[in-house]
Amino acid sequence: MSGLLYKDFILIRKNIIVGLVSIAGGVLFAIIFILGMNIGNFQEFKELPDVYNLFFKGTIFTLCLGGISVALTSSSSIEQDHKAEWYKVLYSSPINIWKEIFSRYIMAFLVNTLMCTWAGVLLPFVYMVGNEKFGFVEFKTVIYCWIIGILVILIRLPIDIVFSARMSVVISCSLMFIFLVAFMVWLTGLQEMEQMIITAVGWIDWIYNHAVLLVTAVVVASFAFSYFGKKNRRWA
Amino acid sequence: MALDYAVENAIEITNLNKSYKDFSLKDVTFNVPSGQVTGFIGQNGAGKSTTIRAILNMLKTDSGKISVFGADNLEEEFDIKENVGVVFDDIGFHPNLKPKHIDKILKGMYKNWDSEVFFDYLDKLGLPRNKKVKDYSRGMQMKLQIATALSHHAKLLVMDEPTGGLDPIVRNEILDIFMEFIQDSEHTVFLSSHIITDLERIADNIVFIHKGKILLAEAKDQVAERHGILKCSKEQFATVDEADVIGYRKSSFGIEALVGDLETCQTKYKGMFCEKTSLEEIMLFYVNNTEI
Repeated sequence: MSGLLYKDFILIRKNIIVGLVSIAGGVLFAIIFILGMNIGNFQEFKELPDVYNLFFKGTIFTLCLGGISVALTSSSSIEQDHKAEWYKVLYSSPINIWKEIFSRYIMAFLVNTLMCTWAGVLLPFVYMVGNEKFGFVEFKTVIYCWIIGILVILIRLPIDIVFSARMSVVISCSLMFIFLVAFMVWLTGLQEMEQMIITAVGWIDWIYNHAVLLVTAVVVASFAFSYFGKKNRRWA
Repeated sequence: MALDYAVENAIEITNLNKSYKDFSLKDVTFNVPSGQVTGFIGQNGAGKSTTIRAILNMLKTDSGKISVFGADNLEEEFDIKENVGVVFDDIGFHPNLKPKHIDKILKGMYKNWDSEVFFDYLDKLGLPRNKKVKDYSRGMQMKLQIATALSHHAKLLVMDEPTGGLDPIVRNEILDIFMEFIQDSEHTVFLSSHIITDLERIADNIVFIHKGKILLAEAKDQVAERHGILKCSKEQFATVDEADVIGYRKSSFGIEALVGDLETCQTKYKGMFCEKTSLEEIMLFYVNNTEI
């Protein structure tokens, strides 16, 4: 299986580098903006505490969202495999379907973890420059983003594996769009919408409290769909 | 059941059936003797690739039994694949990979992968290590595939049209590699091709498939010895026993018929001219005139 992981890494390494650089670029942009609010031309923003606070929250979400998007591009290797007719090499080698599927999941989880960790490592600098505390709540947001990333991967990857990358792009884009809309609504600070977000956060908390059960169910469903779907498709 | 490399036939296929909408394999039965080169001949679409994919369990068959090194190809699939090198008509590696990447990938896929052997083959075949697959010519890509197929100490090479679309020089080079591989008595080669001259050069046995049916499966020399062309007039041909004739064609000079037992026909039809013929001619008669 290490060979499959290495192959996927070689195929998506550019995406990983672009992701890491983009997150670092985002952090740099946030730092410049904070400096602008403190000592530059954007000082009037600092006098609006809501905007100032939302900026920090927004930075966390935006960076993690970017990271998750990069993690999802790991499945682009499936499309590349298809184009290269990699199945000829794969199915004539002693690799069973489980190994093939596992390697896809492992690679996506690794990239998701790498991106969220990278965002988590850089974000305290943004807070430090803004003289704000990067505490447990902020760290928990990064963890939430990481979990959302895993859930999106668990939903998208089976579709990618069994059907095609194109279809799964539509699904994951829809999921990401929902996530983004929720975030934008939260940013605009509409009271009713905020209530929805609080409900949503409460829902996330509920997921967090039942994580083991839910994650097990999603993982089992995701792997089962991937395995049986792949098994049938393999003979097509 | 463990694999037995000393078994008489490296591959045994019995009553293999597989139906598609517009094509089917019908009771395909033949053996690939160990330690020999077996050529699998047939037109495009005759069923060569389907049979090879069935051997490798790359497609679901309707019925039949396939054993490789004495073991069932479904039950011992992964053990078998550890010992089989496969070459397809097209390279299955990603265009941006370099041989050093391919080495690391396959090292993680095969227990017996030998990087030293792989890089030795690359040097021997004149394949640059730092070039991407997409920058290789078609001949180089085929050589790369062969190098990968030979670098995990495979006992059996299964190849689907490895020389198709290559120029004669590269084809010769590739055939030489197979000849070298077969020097080891434990090694077996099974290759499909529609280039009969290639098989005439290296094959010990011939399996001929046409429209999903096996028409011939025997030693190449025996095929050449046994078959012959009977040349006669139309009137003489009317006296020939139908059972002796495999196929015939009319020409302005009379009739040319392929007979399945040259020796018998030479004694039986004394007034007619009977001679040996090439493998290509034999195949042409089988394909164009399977029925009288």
